[in-house]
Amino acid sequence: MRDAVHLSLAGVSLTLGGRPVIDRIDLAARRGETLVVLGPSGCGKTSLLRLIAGLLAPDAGRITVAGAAPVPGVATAMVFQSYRLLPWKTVRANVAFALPHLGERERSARVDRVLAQVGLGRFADAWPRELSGGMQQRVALARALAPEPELLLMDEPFAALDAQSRELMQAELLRLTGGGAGPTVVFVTHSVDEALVLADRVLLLSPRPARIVEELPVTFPRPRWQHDPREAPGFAELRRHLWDRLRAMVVSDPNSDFYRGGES
Amino acid sequence: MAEDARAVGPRQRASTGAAPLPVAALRLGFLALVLLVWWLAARAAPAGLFASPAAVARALARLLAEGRIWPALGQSLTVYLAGTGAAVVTGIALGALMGMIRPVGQMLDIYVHGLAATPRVAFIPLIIVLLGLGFEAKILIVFLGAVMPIVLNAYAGVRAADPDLVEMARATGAARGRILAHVVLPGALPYLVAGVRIGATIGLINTVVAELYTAVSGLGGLLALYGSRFQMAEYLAVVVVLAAIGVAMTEGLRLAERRMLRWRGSD
Repeated sequence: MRDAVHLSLAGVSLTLGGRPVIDRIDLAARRGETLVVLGPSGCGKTSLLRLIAGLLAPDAGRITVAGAAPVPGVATAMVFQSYRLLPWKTVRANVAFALPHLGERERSARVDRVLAQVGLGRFADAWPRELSGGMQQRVALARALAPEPELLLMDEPFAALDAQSRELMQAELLRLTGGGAGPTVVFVTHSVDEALVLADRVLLLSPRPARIVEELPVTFPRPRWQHDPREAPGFAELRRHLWDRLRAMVVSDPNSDFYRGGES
Repeated sequence: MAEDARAVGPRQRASTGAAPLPVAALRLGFLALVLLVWWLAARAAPAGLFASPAAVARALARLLAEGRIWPALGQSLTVYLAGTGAAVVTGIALGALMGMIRPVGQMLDIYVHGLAATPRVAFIPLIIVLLGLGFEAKILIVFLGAVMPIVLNAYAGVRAADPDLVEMARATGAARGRILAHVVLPGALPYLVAGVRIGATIGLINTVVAELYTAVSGLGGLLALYGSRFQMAEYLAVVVVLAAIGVAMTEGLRLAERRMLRWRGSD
């Protein structure tokens, strides 16, 4: 079961407003695997997640999640860069919003459990505006984990946090999803370090329209919230390799702010 | 994680704590000024054309004690609340429908704006022809006045829904009805309350208009009766009752709004 293909994309392309965004992407993720999609800013990473979530339909190609076309809902959860909590609901009600399929008692027990898991049990009755950014994103993470999704999609979830909170949240995510029955994770980022800390495999995307230009297995030992992979041998090398590739793509992309028009 | 505890607490409370007393004093002072001007005007006016505040107060006490005002008040409130209540329900439903389903909104919004700009009093003869002079006609006149601002505000509020939150809700598998109930309408609440407040004010105006133009009844009927008999103290007492209804309605809405929007904090 664990090695079965959970998510697969075959020849997936997407055009938005007449502009090609994603160009014939093929990928497959095993059940329980953490796939990090790394690419330059604005390369179409977010659109890729929307396709996998079933929020957008591809113009060409085929996406399957557990063998079927993706449907937004309980088996798939999404965490966004802007936390997207409902400001008129308390922390508890925000998490409960993702659990309409449960009965009242079961829902309340589940909410208490996931809030305790992210360390926010005491803040169950607070309003989102009363929480710091890191805490709001923990609520959003709790909301995503509450339905016990098989597939967790994360769209630069920690990019808006300060450096310290970001590190703590990465460790938190590793801890919460790293168990034996953890979900398959597709994590989008533009941070090389984040990619290497979290990933089983890194997929490097090109600038728009996004294509997969490299696929890199990351084999640092787990659990990584206990052994920081940044101290592992080979980390610096992988990091430099990914940075060199990213930099090369960005400076040769005419749409980038850092375009150097072949002068180098 | 314990260091995050600092973030919770009534941190915006301090700036507003000192205000209530001076505001109440200023309001009472202004009321005293109004009464003084009223009293001076009543003294200066020829006898029988105007009444002093004291005479109006006595007339009001008499109307209340003799029970003459209760049936009229009951009739007016029935018409007002039925018409305005129907306008709230219909207006929010129609506005939400127009906002959620774009073709419906595009088809209807020009006509709703057009109708909102037409003086609804113009329809009274038509309404009388269709419904006669009774309660139904009056309720329809109130409804037509109150419903337009509610529709337009609900439409604007639903269209202003945060697309990021709607997408988040879709990602949890929420269907349209659930998104409307948990995301769109709560977000549109400030618009809805503003629409209801304007609608409730127009509704009260149209209650009196309806009572004057159809079968004379209610508080509007008493206005016509005492006005035509030059019983100015009684006439003004009825005006005071109408003003009190208006104040009670807007203050009640303000309290409801404060309670429903408490997630925004105390600013």
